[in-house]
Amino acid sequence: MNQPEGTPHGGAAVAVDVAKIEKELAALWRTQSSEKALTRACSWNLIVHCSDDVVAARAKQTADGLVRSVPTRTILVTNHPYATTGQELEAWVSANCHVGPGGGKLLCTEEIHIESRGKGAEHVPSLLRALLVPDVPTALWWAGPPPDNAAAVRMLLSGVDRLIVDTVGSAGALSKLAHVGGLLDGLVVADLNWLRTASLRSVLASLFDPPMGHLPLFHLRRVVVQVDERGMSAARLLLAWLTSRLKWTVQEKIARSQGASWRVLSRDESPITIDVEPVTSTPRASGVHSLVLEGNDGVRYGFVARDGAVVETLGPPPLSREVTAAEPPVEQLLVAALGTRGRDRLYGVALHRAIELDK
Amino acid sequence: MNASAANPLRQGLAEDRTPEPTTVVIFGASGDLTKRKLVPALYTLMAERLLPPSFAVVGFARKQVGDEAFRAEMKDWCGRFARHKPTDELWAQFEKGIYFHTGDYDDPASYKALKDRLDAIDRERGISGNRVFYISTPPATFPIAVKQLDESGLINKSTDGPFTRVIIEKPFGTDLTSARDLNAHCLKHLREDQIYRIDHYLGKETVQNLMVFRFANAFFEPLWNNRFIDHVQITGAEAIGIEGRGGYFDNAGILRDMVQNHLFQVMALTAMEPPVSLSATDLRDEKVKVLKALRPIPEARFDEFVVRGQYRQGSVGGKRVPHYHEETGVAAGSTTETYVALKMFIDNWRWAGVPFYLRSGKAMAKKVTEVALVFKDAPHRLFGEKSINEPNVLAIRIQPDEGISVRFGSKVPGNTLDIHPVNMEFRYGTSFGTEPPEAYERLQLDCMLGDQALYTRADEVESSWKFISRIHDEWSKTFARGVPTYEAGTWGPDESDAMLRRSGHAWRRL
Repeated sequence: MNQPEGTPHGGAAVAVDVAKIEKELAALWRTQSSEKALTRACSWNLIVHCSDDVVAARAKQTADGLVRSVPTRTILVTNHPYATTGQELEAWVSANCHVGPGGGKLLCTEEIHIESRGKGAEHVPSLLRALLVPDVPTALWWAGPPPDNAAAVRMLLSGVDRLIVDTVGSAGALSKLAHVGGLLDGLVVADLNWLRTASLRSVLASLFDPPMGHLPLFHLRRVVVQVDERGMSAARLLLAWLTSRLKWTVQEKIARSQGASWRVLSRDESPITIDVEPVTSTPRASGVHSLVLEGNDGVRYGFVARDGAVVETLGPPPLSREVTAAEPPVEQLLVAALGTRGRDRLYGVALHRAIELDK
Repeated sequence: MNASAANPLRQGLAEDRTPEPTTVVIFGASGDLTKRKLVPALYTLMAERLLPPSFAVVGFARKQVGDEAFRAEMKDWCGRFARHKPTDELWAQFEKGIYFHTGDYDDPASYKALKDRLDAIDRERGISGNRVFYISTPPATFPIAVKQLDESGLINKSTDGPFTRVIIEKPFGTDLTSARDLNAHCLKHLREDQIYRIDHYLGKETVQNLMVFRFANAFFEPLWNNRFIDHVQITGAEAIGIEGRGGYFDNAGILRDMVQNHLFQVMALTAMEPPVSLSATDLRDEKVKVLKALRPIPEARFDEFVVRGQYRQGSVGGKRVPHYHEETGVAAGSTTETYVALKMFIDNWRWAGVPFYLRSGKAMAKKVTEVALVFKDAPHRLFGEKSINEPNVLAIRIQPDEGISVRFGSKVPGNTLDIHPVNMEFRYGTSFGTEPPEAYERLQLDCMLGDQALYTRADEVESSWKFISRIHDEWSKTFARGVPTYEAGTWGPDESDAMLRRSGHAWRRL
């Protein structure tokens, strides 16, 4: 692959001997500090697993932006298991500097890019262990589609406190995550797909705040979610959240040529139909275009996506209005994933339930 | 109660601190605080999804302005002062809930019309009558506004149904008597749990972090007492002079403007015992205990405990500052203090014998607010002459450059055993990379949620005034002696340094 691009203030990445990465970083700091006053910051180790060079380039760009909000030592790892030429392990180091919030000192973080070829991947875990900044938490961001190979994930999990994935896309993304679920016990998983739809959950919940109140939630007969092809897994997560919050039980999944349907029972055992319907409108980041709850009295509650971040809420007046429900870019989702929102206990419940929906 | 209490879809959401649909009515809506702080803070709360979609803000003031003009004006101010700059989409949503109502603070008809307007807004926005009245008017109008609100039926005194809460800006009284009168007046019209006496310092992240720092970490609290702490210094310095606030400041002085409220709150949080919980009652109980334990200043030795000063011509940061007497709105020959330093003792088990030094001033060398705990020397000087002369210091910087630093001695690299003081620093900006929220965001949100923990209680205000009013009484007796002056751009009058020197201490160089 090409050498990673230079950083905004820190200069170009420097190719280094993998055995001397820390030493080279120290030298890099000495050079930088002689030019101007720097503050070195790190509140997370962020290991970024990249499946290929395209994913790596995109992840690097995101990580460079991320460190403005969350200072991390970023370690990008790209494995080329089938490569037969080139060194088994190569590394580059660079500093990523920016002016801190409110101006003042130049705030710098470190970035290390490791590339392995062939059997080089076997040495990556030990290299990572040596490179982690002590006494700060470590997150593994699995950039690109979620992992489907438990062994590959396990190899990188040593010392990791949080696994960050993005299950956006087909429903299979959730079962992929479930596939490696055996090793997730006790590990915090932050799903960017879940965080991306946080504003939609919030909008839906707000419809049942006073003065409307939550009673209509106990008299529903149908739920319809419209999604584009990216939204199948997000729809399941939203439905899993909804059914778990309202304590509905799934009776059966109904076979359909497109989309998906379920019959569920409410807490008082009234039947409710759930439909996920595909749409072909302009794709949205989460893939979710609308979610409508239909009451026994025919009143509809929910939201329909309009342009940009705007959604139109549905409900009796004055609940029917346009509100913003932004689906933030990946960089902002990562900030949330590394914060308290990345430890969302609702997600664990929703993930298990979402997987059950397809059983 | 917040909206999450009953709504099963709210429970567990990251935004579960979302209040019920509420209207915030701002009295004094044409003032600077509304433009620079209050509305920008509300907009930011909405941008962070911490306000319900059914939310309204109503500006109330004498000037004749329509809703549209007020919205346009607020958009401009939010663009300049909100942490989240308005986007077209978000602003379109926010401005639908902004209204302006013209009225006189002392005119019952204005309140009647306001009530009708608020009822209409409730219907239009889907709000069930929850209201916060933010009284940000000149202090003389506080009692009038509270009385008129009550008499016009705008205050729901029942604990059931929609809530009514009233935020009262500072200053809450000008001395012990007026504070007691204002408390009594407010309590005639409102319950204590409906009164939110604001001190925006309590909304600052770093002030709240004082509690986190002390009570969420195991290794500082055991040292936080008279066994290890030699003395405490609390500084609230402003680089600016009074800048057009002469009319107000010349009547108030720095002791009323900064010390009675902001610095006493910081001192109380620094000195208090761990509260049983973070509930408003438990937290405020502990702060009141500190204020009640303040040793009265002995009249005969007043000058050993209190120093005041007034700035004379000088320069701050390279800019000329005129003599205080030359400032607009200042009375000729004014003896109002622009600087004060206090030496205080907290007579309780934890702090017996530990001096607390407080200083606050205008036109000082730089803007800084900090709490510094200066430790006693190590019990044995193992390194003899090479031992450090500088004591260990734990400094909590409240503004600017919010953070915490610890000073300790370290061996100077080399083949000799020389010891030099070094600093270990934590800075918010470095570790978290984000700007802390504005105090008015947190405080307005807490009020909507009914959380009074970061607001002051009647007895707290009266306890601090009790101490401060004695100083004013003493000053009034020694009026003829005049006020020592200090050059603008310095750290205050020489008398202040002398006060610490007598106890073998010195102000920190900041």
